[in-house]
Amino acid sequence: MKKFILLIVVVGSLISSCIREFETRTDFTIKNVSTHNVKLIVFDAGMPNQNIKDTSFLLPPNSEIIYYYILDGEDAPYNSPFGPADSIYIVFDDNLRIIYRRDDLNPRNILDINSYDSEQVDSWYKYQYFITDEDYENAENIE
Amino acid sequence: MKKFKFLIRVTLLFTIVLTSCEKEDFNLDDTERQESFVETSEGLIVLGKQLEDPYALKNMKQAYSNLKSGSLKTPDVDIQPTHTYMRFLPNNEEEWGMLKSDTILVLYDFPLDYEIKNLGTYYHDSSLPENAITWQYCVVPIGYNIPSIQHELLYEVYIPDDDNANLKSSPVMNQFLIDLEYESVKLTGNLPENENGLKNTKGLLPSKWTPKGTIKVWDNLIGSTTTSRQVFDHWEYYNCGEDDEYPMEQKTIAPIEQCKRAVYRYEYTTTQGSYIPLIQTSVHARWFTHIERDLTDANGYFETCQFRYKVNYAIKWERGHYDIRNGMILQAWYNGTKKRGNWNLNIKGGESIMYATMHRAAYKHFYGNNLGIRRPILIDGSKTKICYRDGEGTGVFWGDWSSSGIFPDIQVWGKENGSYKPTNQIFGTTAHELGHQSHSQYIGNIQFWQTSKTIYESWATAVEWALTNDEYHTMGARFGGAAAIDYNHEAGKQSWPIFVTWEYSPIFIDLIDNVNQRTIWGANRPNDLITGYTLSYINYNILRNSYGLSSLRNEIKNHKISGVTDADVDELFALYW
Repeated sequence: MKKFILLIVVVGSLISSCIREFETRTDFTIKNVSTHNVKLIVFDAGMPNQNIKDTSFLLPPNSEIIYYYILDGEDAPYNSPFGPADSIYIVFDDNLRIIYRRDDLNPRNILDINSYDSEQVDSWYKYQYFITDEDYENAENIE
Repeated sequence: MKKFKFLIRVTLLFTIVLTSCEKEDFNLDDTERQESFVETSEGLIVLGKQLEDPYALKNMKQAYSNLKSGSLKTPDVDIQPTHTYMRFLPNNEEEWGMLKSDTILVLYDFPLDYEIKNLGTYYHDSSLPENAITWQYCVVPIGYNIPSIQHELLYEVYIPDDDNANLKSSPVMNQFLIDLEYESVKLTGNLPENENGLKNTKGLLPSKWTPKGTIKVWDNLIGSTTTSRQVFDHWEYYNCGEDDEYPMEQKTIAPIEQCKRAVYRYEYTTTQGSYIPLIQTSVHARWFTHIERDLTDANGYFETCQFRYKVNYAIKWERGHYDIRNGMILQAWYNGTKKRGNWNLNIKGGESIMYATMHRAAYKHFYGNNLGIRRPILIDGSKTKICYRDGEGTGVFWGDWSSSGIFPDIQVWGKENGSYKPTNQIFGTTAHELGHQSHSQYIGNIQFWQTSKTIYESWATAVEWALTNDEYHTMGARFGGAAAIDYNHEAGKQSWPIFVTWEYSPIFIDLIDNVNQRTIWGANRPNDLITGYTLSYINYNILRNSYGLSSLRNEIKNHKISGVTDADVDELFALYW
């Protein structure tokens, strides 16, 4: 009987460990450190747990938006800011804007994970992007 | 004038008489709400001193003797016990399961005749080994067949309202039973205190009242909540002494001096999330060994039978098919304060919101709208043990080993990165693990473990996605909140396989949804040309004989719905090999 119980314990723990799930959290922070009002218009944004749709965010100076994704797996960061977003407008004071597309090679592309400052603690990844006055200087008039 | 004074006196007298005759239910302002998140009310239930139970037969007999000696009009009554207060000590999960599945028993894992010093959410008798199941206390009706599990009879109980032999036999007898209860309450020192904190031994018999109230729980996404706060706006200057109470002449005589007062304004903040009704939750109202229960309705409202004195309100996180635990072996509770009045509770934060959210998901699976899939009810009739773990992790389904009594069925971890997880995540994880149980109960435990991980994890993923979406869409429609109405749990795993662990694929979701991820994410995602299946159809037509990807593909081809071709199925599976 003892052997039987031991067997069940061993088999049970083996089976259960097979289906233990892990998660990885990826935080994205977009911070407006410029002196201008910013509006982000994201086309086909895939925000966490939401259907894909065009989405806008308002960012007054010194404000930020934070959102995060949880993915299955022990080391599974989500490397796609705004999900499968197709393109994004960064609009300054309603009259200047920068446009980034998914595959732009621009080093400031807000849709590219490589444009972000990154930090990792265990299975928690944090990415930060700062919108600056320099971005404002590089923005173009809205036609 | 004398006539006027007389009239006032008469009116006052009438008012006093009328109000003292008031027999209506005690009712508190419905706006009174108890916020649950008080750290000290969570954790271990701490008992105080032992109390004398007025319903103990010996006390009732003493009360009868007192009444009899005080008045010759007291009827002759043979007071017999209506119940027995006892406790069981289950030796293992199997024995505990036997007790729990007995619908006559209302089990408490803490004694009913003790003061509760810390309300707490679980209890374990410190005289028992830490990993032993604790004593189970209950009040059983006389004549109940006691199961052959180690037990102790603590004392016999007499509850006048349940004395069917004597109750309602005559108005005299009814009055006697009321007097008897009052006398027993008095002699055991349990009379309510008056305004001065003294036992009101000469007071009138308290009227009966009905415990009732509304239980709500916070959800991160459903609805929105506006809060206001008073903030300083500006100083307002005025002439000192400028006050309506002073006559105008004095103002002009006094020297004019400038004073200032602060003017405040209200700032309103609207945040995502709100309190929503907690549906079909088991609420207990108890005074010593007198216990009444009710299940909350769709509005979170409950109402039990009447009491005469203050009650201990509690939520027992348990239903007929499942049992939510703190850790592996401790029943989870929410203990409210002892009171006479409505219990309007808002649960937010701490472990309690975790229990409540797990209950929401479990209720949906076992009793609610589960989208027509096989309910995860255990075949052997035992309760599913859903264990809450107050640490970092996700969820685990151990398989159906209930009859062995060794393992918990499901475990759900509540924290990530040091904080409690949002409610949608806890709901999803619970729905996911119960999705495994539904699957294993449907095809059999042995067959379940022969199924490939991609199949059983993808199925549980689809169950999690569909049930969580349905919950948020339904509650979003009732209470608003764009995030809830447009909720798509984990984005339907449509970014698989790039950001999603291989085995947690969207293969079942793709049969249901109307999104083709290839058009969104590009060529390295499945080309999903299929839509229109339901979770229920997949469950009963496809899942049983799907042990791996090949058999799943065959089963889908064998059970195509209108508009789906074999080529579509092959296209969907193309990236899986």
